[in-house]
Amino acid sequence: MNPNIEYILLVFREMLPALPQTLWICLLSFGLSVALALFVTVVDFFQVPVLRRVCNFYVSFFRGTPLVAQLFLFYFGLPSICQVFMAITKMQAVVLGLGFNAGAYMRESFRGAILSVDKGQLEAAYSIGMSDMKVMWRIILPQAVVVAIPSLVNNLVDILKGSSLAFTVGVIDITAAAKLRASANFKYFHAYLALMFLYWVLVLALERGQAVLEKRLARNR
Amino acid sequence: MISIENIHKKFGDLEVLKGVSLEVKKGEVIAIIGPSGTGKSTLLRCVNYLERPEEGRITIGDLSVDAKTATKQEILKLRQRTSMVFQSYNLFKHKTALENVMEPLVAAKGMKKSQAEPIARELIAKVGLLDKADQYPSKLSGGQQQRIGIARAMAVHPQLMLFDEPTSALDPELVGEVLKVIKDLAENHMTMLIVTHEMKFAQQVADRVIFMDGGGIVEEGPPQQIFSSPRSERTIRFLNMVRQKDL
Repeated sequence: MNPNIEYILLVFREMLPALPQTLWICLLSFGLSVALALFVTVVDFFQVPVLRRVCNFYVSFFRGTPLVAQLFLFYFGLPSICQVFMAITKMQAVVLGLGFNAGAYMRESFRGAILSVDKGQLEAAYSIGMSDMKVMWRIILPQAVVVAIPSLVNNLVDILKGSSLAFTVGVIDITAAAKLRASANFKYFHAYLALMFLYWVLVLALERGQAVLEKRLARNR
Repeated sequence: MISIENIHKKFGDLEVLKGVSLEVKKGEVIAIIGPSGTGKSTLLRCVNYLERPEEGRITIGDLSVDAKTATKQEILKLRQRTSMVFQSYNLFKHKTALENVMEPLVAAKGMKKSQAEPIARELIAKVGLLDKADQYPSKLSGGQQQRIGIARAMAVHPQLMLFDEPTSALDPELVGEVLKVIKDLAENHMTMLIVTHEMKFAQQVADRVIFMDGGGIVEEGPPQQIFSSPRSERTIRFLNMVRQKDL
């Protein structure tokens, strides 16, 4: 076999053990970012005083600063100023950084989706005596989430690619695995080609999942 | 006993309601007519606080809500004693017809689904759509959607039902089925405030007709009187306009 292809396959074999790490980072950060974005969206929708300002500051700050700097802040910065964070693990820092970062962007995905639910339905919900929270959970969000799916998958793709920065704080994800292999024998081109190929396959899988999900959810309307 | 006292509502500088008062007896059906833009819908929407009036008091039984002091709790209670049927139906699009009618019972009254379902089915039977109970709104005609809208409003078990031009968005051939359901309600002595452009219907169903113009009530009385011998110049002009259109 062509030695280059053989080498690429070798890189793949070495990346595979690191794959669960990458997937875990994505899953946990995605969960965190959805929770944060939902919280911010609900606060914004009901115009909760004070909290609204805190949320706006959060979104502005995390959209206005680079992801790498945020990861460094969580992993190197926080422990140096506050005892409580001394015990933070690399993994936790990465999930926090990615989650907070993605949550700030995801707010837009939710906001647009929530505005897409027509006002008449909200009035109907209020007119039958539902509270704000019930209107949000029972009427707005179930419809908004369906609308938000394409942009949420987009956010997830960003998280997946953003997770490649985990190596900067020392987590061995697939990027780190490929980098280690490459620097062992200086075959950078093929190692990174293999790495990019793996990311691409993962993104294709996400897009496939999105199509299936949209089809299933569209059946009801 | 339901009373609406001295309701004032402004949109910016525009004074839409200039102190409207109205007493409604239990079981009474009141039709509100008048030119568009005279505050008819706004009046209805002030009754359940979809619009918050600047001034005025709404009393339903032992609950009295003053615009100046109304709390969230009071507004919620007010809405649990009234219900509204909308011009554009406003069904919940992600829920089936049955789930739409169950929603007031489950979400506002805190009933269990198993308790709410038979009640909702009975209401859907009353509007004659039991065979459509499991359909989503998008699969229903306008007339069917509005009948489900009425069943949903009935599920609130309201002391007062508000109808905001319930047939205005319907194709002409679908108006009849909706009006029939409202007539049934009237015969069963449901207390109703109905904003409508269907003059014939108002004449047949209402115990009292109210003519509104310029943010206030101009004239009121039994349908016979309003339609055959109106006193106010403005009522006469409006009715003539409407009749000309019908010719």
